[in-house]
Amino acid sequence: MTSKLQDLTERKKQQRRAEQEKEKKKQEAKAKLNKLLEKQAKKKQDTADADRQEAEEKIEDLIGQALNTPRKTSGALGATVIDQLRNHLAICWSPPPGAAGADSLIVDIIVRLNNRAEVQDVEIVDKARMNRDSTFKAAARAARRAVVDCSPLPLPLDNHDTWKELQFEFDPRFITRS
Amino acid sequence: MTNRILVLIAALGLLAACETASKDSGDAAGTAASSSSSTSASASSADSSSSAAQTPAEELASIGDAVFFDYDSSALSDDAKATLSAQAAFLAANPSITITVEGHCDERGTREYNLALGERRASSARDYLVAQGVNAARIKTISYGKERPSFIGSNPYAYSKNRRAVSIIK
Amino acid sequence: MMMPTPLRLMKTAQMAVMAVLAVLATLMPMPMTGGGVAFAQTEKITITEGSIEPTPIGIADFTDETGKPGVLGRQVAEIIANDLNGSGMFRSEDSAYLIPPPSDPSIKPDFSEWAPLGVKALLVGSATENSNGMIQIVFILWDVVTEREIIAGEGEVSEVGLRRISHQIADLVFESWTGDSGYFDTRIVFVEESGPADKRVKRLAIMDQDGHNPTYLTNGSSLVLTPRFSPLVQEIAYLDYFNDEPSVYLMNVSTGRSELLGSFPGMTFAPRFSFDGKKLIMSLAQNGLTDIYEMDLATQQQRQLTNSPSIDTSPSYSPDGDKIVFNSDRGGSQQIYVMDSNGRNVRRISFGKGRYATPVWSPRGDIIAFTKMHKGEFFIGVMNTDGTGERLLARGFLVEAPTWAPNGRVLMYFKQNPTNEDGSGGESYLYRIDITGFNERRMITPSFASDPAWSPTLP
Repeated sequence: MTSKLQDLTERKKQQRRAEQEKEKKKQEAKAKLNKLLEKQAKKKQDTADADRQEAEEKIEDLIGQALNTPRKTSGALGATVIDQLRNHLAICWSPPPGAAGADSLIVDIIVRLNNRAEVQDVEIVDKARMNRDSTFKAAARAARRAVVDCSPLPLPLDNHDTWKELQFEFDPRFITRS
Repeated sequence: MTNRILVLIAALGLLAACETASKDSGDAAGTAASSSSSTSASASSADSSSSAAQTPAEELASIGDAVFFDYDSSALSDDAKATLSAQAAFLAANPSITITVEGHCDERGTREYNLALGERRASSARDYLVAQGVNAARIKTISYGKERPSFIGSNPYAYSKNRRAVSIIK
Repeated sequence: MMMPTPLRLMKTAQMAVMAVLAVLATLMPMPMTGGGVAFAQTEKITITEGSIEPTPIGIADFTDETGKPGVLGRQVAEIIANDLNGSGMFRSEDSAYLIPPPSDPSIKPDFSEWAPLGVKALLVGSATENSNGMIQIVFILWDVVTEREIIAGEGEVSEVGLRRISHQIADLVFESWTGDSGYFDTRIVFVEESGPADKRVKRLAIMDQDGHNPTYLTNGSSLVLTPRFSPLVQEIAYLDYFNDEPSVYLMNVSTGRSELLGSFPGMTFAPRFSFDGKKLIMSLAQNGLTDIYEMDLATQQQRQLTNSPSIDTSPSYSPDGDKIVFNSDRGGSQQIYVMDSNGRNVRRISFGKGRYATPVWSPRGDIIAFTKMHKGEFFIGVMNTDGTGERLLARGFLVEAPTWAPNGRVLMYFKQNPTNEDGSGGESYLYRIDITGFNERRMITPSFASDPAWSPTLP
């Protein structure tokens, strides 16, 4: 009993530490970014916004990599369902192999499903990048193709409300690992 | 003069010994191929009729126009030094002759590295000749890397024949 | 021969895509700032595993005036399929010809006919002769799964330009599908070899990257070796034994004229251009020493970069020009070293078993290709720029001289067979392989060939 408690407090401590670290890194990165942006703003106001967006994405990525913490999926779906989805999509998803800079090609999509778990609509979250970055565009198309190809998704049909809209993050870094 | 002839004869003796040890001197040195093999077979006749009907090229071939190297090496063996000493004597006896020393490699290396290695072999032979008193201005060097094998075949014997520096009269 | 073929993307297609995007935007009034922000109600599911395999693609024979697959259209489809298959990123479905393509590319294909073939992509198009005797080409690439148009374009060429426009279409298919730059509209310069092993005649030759249209650049009167393309296309640097003075020459590929590069006191060889095309780096051998020199092509000013009693050769710049990778035996045997572009900070990067040679920096900058010799065998491999992550891609009795496709995805090199004592054997051929290590293919050349060098993408 006590050991479990300690375990829990230890984990909470770790969590807090990780959060602090994350926050610190974010602050540092933001400070750097702000300096950079101030300089750029003087030169070109119109490109600065795009740069900031890109830089923020990069920061998110870097923090994610640094902490090496997979994003928590402790929601209503449950671990088993999510594992099933992962296994299912792994077969349908074939990102361009060796895409240049695979670590910056993470694609977020929102998938809308009918009550038979059939994919009705796929939305690429970062439309701005979709339009300006052809490498990202190809990666985004591959993500969209994966969910459409895999439709219907393996989901508990009695629970439509919990999954009528799902957000996926397709992270192609396994390409460079293999 | 007598000294030189003695050196020459000594060199020929060495050459003959070296040639009989190997399988065949065949076409070891490109253009001068046939004459060099006949020489080792009749080494004794060489000293009696030293340069009676021989052209300078034939004479150089009979002395030994090629020296051979170990794998990835430009170091001169004792055999090579003896041959080059004989070449130096020949050049001293024929002061109007200028030569080109060609450096070559076997095919078991990459093209660009072998160009450098061939140059190193040619320079090694040239330096020895100069040390024997030959005027450096009479010797030109060129490297062919692995592009001009004299002995055809992908086997250790052919490779040993192709790792060479050959003196050619110009 | 290589006249530019105007190939332009179709406006209608772009507008259609934009329209779809606009509709989506109105449907979704969800402002998303910063890609990583989580959705309010839903949870984010991270997918970290997928499959890596070539995309199955259907390439329909392009249709002619009658709306049926035509002779020219079949040729176009074959050229494109060959390009895409060779990249290792696509696998064209052989049975695609069984399904009749739409009679006009503007008609949306019936995807339910194509899907059973397992193809994810579908290329349809037409090649029709117009009244000026020119060939009108239209093409559309479809995503079979989402039934979306990926890219569309059109162009007009004479029959001579048919191969080139087909390569350009293959480039567009490759680029739009993979997000990577294509390399099919490129050429290869190489050493064409003929005659017996001890009297090989070597000539410079140039051909399209798929082996077509070979042309000689030199006549074989002097020995020529190691051609390299300028990143500005029109020029190659190579070693020529003209007048028995082996030196680096520059040749203008379109005029065929050559000039001696600089004046050096010994043999210059192993040339390579910097990625900006402004400098040439090479070896100078004299008195048994081989060092690396750099030459500014505009001013002809030369600078010595290495000064060691060893052989320093096969230099290659990094794409940013900051570093140089080269081959040296300074440690006793041939190994690969990297130095700063001013010659300082030399460090060895190859530490595997065997000898290493001919390092070539990838145009992407992340890896270095090399030749390796170990236990009587030769290998072509790649390693990271710090020497880690060595992967061997090809092997043989003799494989040598890798060159990069301009997008850094494919390597070409040459392979030579052993020579027999009767003079037979010793054939050398060009091969290519994609950097995943699959798809090794022999290039068709007029006779034996060695020392390939890939051009940048053509202007």
